[in-house]
Amino acid sequence: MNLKKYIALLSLILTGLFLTGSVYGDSYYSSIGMGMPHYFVSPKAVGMGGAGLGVMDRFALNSMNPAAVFVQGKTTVSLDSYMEMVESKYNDQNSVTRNGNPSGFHFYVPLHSRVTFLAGLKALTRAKYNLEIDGQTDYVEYTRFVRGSGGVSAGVLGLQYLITKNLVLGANAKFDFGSFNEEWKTEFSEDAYTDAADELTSHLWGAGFELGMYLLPADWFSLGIIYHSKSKLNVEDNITLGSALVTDIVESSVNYPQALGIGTSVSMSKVQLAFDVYTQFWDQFELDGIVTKEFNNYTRIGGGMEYRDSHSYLDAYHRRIAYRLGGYFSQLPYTDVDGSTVNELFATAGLGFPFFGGTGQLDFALEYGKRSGNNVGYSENVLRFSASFSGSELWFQRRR
Amino acid sequence: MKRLLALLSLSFLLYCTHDKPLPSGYELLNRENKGEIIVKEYPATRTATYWSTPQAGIQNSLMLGQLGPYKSFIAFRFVNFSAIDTTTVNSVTLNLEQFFHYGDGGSFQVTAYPLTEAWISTYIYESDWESAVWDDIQNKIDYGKPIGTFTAGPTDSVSTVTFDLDTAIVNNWVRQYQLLYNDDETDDIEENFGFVLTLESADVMCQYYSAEVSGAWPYLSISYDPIDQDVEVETDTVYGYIDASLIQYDTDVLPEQIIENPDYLNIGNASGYKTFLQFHTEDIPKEATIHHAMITMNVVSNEDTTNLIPISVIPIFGDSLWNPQEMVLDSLHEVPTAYAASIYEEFNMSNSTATSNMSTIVQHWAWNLYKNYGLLLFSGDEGYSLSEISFYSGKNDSTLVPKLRVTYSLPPDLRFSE
Repeated sequence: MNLKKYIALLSLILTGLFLTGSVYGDSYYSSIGMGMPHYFVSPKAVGMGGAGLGVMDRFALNSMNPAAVFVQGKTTVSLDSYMEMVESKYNDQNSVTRNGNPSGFHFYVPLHSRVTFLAGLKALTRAKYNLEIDGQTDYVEYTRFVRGSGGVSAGVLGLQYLITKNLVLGANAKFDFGSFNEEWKTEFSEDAYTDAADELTSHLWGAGFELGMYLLPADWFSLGIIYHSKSKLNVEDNITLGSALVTDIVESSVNYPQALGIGTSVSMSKVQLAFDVYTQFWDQFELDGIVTKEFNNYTRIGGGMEYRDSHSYLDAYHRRIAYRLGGYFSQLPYTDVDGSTVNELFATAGLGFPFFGGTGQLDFALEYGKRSGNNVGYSENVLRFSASFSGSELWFQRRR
Repeated sequence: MKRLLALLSLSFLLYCTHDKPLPSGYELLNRENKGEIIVKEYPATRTATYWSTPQAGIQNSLMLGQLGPYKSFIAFRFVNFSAIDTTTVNSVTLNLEQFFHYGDGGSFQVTAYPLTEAWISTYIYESDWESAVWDDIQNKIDYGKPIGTFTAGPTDSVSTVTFDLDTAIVNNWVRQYQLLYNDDETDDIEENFGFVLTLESADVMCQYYSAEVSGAWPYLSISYDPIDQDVEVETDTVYGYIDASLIQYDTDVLPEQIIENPDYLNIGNASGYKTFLQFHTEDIPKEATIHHAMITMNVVSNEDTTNLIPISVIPIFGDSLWNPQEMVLDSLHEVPTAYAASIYEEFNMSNSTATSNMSTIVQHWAWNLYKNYGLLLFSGDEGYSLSEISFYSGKNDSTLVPKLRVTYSLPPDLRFSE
């Protein structure tokens, strides 16, 4: 099977998985708003604290900045996935959950020496949580379960235009879609009571756009700037009650907030440094045009470095392996129940293994960090393993 | 590269999942309304009781005797004489399996009389059972032609009791059967409408198995001279085709007379007493999911008598006046049923089937699928025994009023709600 057939098959699988809703490691915070923001720049950036808005690299296919893509005239595909383990702690209680899934698929086709066509699927937010509480009335004991999953993904189509070697622009049209499913189930300790579950499903869809710019003021210094527009998402809520009563569909709208980001990169012969700042304006989150939730802005600051002894395919393989380190800090849009902000602090590390012919690369990364507020006593320790494949071939080019 | 692609593809598909509830996540969950469990108790706002003669012929028992306000005769009809190949019946005995008796009295005199008119049709429809009650049948007895006199009374254990019947009338029944079988005229023969066992008075009520009980059917044992002269005497068995207890309830209260807001709510097997209850559950929202609904009543207990009655509850669909002649009873819901015992002070319809069926009824009220005209409570063993039970209506003590306890949940807020 050649690359084209693999890509066609994987595209089909990934599209199906995205459409059926992605699942990730459980997080209580993902039960709020539109779920946990999913920040992914490129396979390379994951190991460098997520920093890469200003990095243009052959197999660091940038999903945030449509301008920072470098395919070297070859059709290039990138598949990303990860597995996450989350240890949730509340005082002396804890639980560990783990989940894995694809997180992105990108497809780049050079149309012209200056123009590249971009297409892809990527996760924007994610939600998965499994909550329960024991309770009792004067007559019976019961357990309430809340099981939620879903998220918002985006399908993008866009173009990258190389104005000069030092200035590249990119733009994506973005179709956002997703769903959130919640099951609220009550189980009683006595058979005389009927267990039942209310099922709440929200379907969302809308559109927006993404703009990106890549600047190379000097050979050793680059800059990336992005703007992602807000998307007005139509929401359709379906409720199937435990009594089997089918209620009317509830229609509303929310907006997936706009975002700004800037990233820089400094390249030396064997070392590359990157630093990003990104803000998404969740304080502008609206329901039916009204700001109803007091969310914080999602602010993320990340940085890291990559060491690669050699970029030459003629050198020994071990010298061409990329070693990455980084870290990031972010403030989540959501607060704890007492209103205190919730932050993430992560350390990252990664490896990049180029293919022998230089036609692709496998990237692996480990991220470990803590997500918590200040006062409530609830926290999440997260270990995330990412794997990405990037490959390229010559397509759509006349043989000479 | 292709192998690596295949490996990566596989890893996408074989992702692993491990679910475990997050600690205290529910308490922290940022929703104003989490759809809590609500328990509400509804006292009966309207009560009534009345009696009507129990439907006859559908129970496993036949009652013969008299005790307290109850007197009961038994009607029989035997029709299938195909095994009796004769013109001469020599002897006939009625055989009944006696299994219980009420009262401490002794034996009593029983007289059997033929019935002169149809009291039940050849084909058995439900409407026919309603005609098999004492009020309807008492004028169809030919008291001028007794067909047997014998003694009945209490027995210490389950045993078969036999009564001799007049051979002439059985000869007629056999003859009629043979003529009908051959499509011949039967005008000169008295038609077989069955017979009834009666008594003047007694201090005991005997219980026998009815034709509904497989293996313990009432039967006639007929000894006859067969047409085939080679055999001298033959004895064959004819099993009961239809039978019924004809219960007479001696009371000043007229049948089907509604007694609103009584002191006591009665339900009885022999009296045919039934009870109406109404609970106003209109405040349960349409969106509620009913998890449990249970009726609780306070029993006028009697530690000396272990009356056990299966009490069934059926919603009333129409006629808020509770007129037994006009009210429409629900035939769609499964009927909640639970046993009430007179030795206990409280009766809870607490078994899982009863609460589940009651929950469905309350759920449909909440949906306004059916209007809540109240509930009719009756014994599923009407006509079977002398068991009776009374409950406090709460008229004189509101703490004793019947109650309907409903446990329900409301849906939580939507994820995207204000």
